[in-house]
Amino acid sequence: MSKPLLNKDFVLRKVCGLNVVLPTGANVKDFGGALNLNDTGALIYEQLQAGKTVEETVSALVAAYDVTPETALADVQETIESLREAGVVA
Amino acid sequence: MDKLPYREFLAMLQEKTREADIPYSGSFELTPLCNLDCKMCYVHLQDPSVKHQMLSGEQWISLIQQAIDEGMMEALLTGGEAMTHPAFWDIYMYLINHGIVTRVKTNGLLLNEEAIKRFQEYRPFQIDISLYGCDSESYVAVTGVDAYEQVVSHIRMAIDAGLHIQIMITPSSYMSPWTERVMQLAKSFYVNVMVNDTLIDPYDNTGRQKKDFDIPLEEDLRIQEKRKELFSSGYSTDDHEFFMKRLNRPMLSDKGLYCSAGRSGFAVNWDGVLLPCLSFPRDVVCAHPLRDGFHQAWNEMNDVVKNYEVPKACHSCELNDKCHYCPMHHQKVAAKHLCDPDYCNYVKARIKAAEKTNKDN
Repeated sequence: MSKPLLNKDFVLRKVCGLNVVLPTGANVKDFGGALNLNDTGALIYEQLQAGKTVEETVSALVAAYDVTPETALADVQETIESLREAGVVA
Repeated sequence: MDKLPYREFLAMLQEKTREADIPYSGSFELTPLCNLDCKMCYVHLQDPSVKHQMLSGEQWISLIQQAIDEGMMEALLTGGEAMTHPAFWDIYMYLINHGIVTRVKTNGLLLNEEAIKRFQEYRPFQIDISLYGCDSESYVAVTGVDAYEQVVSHIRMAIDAGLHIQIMITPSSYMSPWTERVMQLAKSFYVNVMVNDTLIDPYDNTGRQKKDFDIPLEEDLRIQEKRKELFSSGYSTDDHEFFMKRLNRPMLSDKGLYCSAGRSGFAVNWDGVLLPCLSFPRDVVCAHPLRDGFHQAWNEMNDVVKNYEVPKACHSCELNDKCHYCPMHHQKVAAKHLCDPDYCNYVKARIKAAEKTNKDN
């Protein structure tokens, strides 16, 4: 069961319908901006933050939205890859 | 998934949070005490008993956490001299560790090598450093302290360290003989420079009066002309006005103020009182987050600001598409919903001067 590790030096904030990931601590100097997530991205982030596996995250997505497990898996993988590129996932 | 630079991110949030009455930007006046004694300072108190009335680090952090819970994303630490607060670094690190986009306003005296190293590691969005003179003589004339060499050395070190520095200049009658040279010195740092065009009425217990340090209108206009010439690509209060004018909202409404103070912005004064902005007149509105909690205090203040009726005179004023009513500028009469004629005359002269410059260009 794959369990992607979130970089702890980020925080997800929800304000005015926006989901924003912001760097914290020493991470601020390297990141220098904010990551704007859509609602699906935020849900995936929260699942990973709670230590869930990819499979559990897919299930959460299927439960929250009217999508097939295949579509949900593709979304989760794509989001994790984007978060990894941004340095938010190790 | 978009990665946004801080400026873009903050600009995007400003309007959204204003519409939703969310306190996204907070200024925290950590202390009225200072290691300089600027003669035009509206905050600085010298009574040592003030120390016992100041908020502790725990109290500031509690207020900050409550503000974060309500949606705060951006914070300014100011004073007095913010860095003299005994818990400055605890408060600063709390903000940084919670992802708050943080600015620090300082006179630069404590921005030594050790502080710069810390800021390099835990980076603020911006450090605003006040520049009060262009040599020892002018520094003493304005601040009462010969801090020139030290401050300039600290500014250079901070810039060399890659920190995002903005120089702030506050012209007053005490700076008058040197104002242009101070601006020239600021230019030599090749960073953003803001030249304040507003001197604020000092708090009652400071023992200071604005008339003692105010500058004549003609001098102010000359300074602003020089400022435009020197810093055409830099920041200024005029740029701020320009930015505000770009916002898609009328400058004058039947109810409510144009600016974001009290709508998405707030300030907590050194004694824990919540205001729309740092020098907002307390007889218009003030709230008490230490007593009532931040949530209730914010709602009370927000409600007053949203329903504030600007003076009737503004509705028939020919310049009401160029000037927005700000209670801070009409400090003594804002609670009566009136205009201060001196300030109105000042704005008229500024607008006339700006129009002349535009024509000449």
